[in-house]
Amino acid sequence: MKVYLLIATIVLHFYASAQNSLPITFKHVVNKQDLMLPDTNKIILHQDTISIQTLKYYVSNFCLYQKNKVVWQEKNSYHLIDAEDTASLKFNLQLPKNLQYDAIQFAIGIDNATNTKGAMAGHLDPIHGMYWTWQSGYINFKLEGTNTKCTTPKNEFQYHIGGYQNPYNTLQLVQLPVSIKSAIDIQLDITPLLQSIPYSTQARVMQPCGAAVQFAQLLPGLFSIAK
Amino acid sequence: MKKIIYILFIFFVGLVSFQSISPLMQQPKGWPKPQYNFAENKLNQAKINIGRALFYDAILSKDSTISCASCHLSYTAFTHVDHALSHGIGDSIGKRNSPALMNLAWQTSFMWDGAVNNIEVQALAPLHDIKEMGENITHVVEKLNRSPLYQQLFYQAYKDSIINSQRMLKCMAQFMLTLVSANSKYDKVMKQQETFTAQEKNGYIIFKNNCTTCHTEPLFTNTKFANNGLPIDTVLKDFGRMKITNNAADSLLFKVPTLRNIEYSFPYMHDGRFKKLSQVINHYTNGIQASATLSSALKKPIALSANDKVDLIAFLLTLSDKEFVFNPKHQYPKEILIPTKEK
Repeated sequence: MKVYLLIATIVLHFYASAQNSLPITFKHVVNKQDLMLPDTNKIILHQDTISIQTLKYYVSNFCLYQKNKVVWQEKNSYHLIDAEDTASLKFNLQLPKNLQYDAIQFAIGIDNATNTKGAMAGHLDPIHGMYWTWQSGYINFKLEGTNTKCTTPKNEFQYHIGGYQNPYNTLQLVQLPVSIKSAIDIQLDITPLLQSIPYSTQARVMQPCGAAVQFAQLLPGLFSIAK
Repeated sequence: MKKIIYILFIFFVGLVSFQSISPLMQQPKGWPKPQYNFAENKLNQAKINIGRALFYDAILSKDSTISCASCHLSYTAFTHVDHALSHGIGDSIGKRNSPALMNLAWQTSFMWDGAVNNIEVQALAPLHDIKEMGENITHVVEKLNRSPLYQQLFYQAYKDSIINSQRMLKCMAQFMLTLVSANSKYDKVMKQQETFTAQEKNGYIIFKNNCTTCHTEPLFTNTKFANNGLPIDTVLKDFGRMKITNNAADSLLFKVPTLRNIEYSFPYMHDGRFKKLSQVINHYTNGIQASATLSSALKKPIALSANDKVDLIAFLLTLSDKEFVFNPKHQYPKEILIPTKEK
């Protein structure tokens, strides 16, 4: 009996050590400074005074590439990133040992199949406020704040970017080259986004539409590997 | 070896011929396969009970005044009979007629405009609508977690004490999925257990000649969207499916409703504008308003004599399923929501 237990322990040990944890950390930058939420600092961009209240988005379907071939995919890969919740910014990918890879890929948002699957739990639970209730579908990316340029009450802007069906599919892929390291820090710099939003005419996008797609297409270019 | 193959063959034939959706829900004969994936949410009596309790419990609304059943009454095929537009908290009035609920496992989209893509997430829409229940799911889950009744019900069903939105919504879906209406006189005639009167028979012929493109048997809906030529209500300004797809081709398109139990589900149309079936039929013969998105099935005028109209209504009344509307399993679960104190 003891022998069996010993063997089981050894097998378990090897099984466990055959996995490597790769910590992923998301960092948010605006105007060359770390974005801290709730944001009390005003951001001055050109002549606009901007304040960010919410930055929340899904990253999903993580995979690793080696020479343009997928070598690893995360199962049930859905992560809700909330700039205000530091615990949400870090998670581990469980990789096989000695895996060779040269690029990481993930999607911004939730794929079509998951959007039609019904009631979900965990990060996909609608209690997180990232699900539209009047029309089924996840909000892939949420940015809320104020800008003196907005003519809305309290100068507020609200961008709830979602939509999973063509022609208003807002899911975006990000692929970044990486070298094998003990951790990967992914940076999202929202400065170019804040500069290209047409605030005065479009302070709100809150449904699947052409404006949402245009907004979503700006997102992949904002991500980079932090040095 | 041959014998084994033979036995296996008999076994599999047996499996196929006795296949029903679940012991808790039968597949009506001659119907297509359900669209709902029951494998991911296996029907279970304890879960159906939770769904039924929630359906009748005003705990889902902000001020505990409105339950699903407020606008979906079992005795009238789960619609808000005699109300053109449905009511919500604080006497607010919505912009659409509450749809009758039945045979939902065969639907791929829900609401008049198909806004909801899965029955499991359907309840979120009225729950969050400020003119219906005015609540939010986070708060409802908190309320359920505080309720000794639901703590007990969820424990019975899941053998642990977790109450989350996924479980709640899947239970509600289970109850709604079991609302199957397939035992009207029409169904009995099709199974050759009863016969139509001469009038009903003529009405059925008229129906088949004019209505089946959209109201396709056996569900009496093709589950698609169509513009049925209703002039737009200038107050409600409801363009239907276009709001969901942002596509001009979907302007004035609404979900084709089932005609089953139509006797009970008045008033008719997405805004409840017609109180009587005769008004509905007169709309199709004389009231169609042409527009770019009018259903191609309605471009050719429908001509019916006064007698034809009466016969058609006689046929439509054969779609009433008394067993369905008076099924005690669909009604207020007194034994769950008002448990008698143990002595």
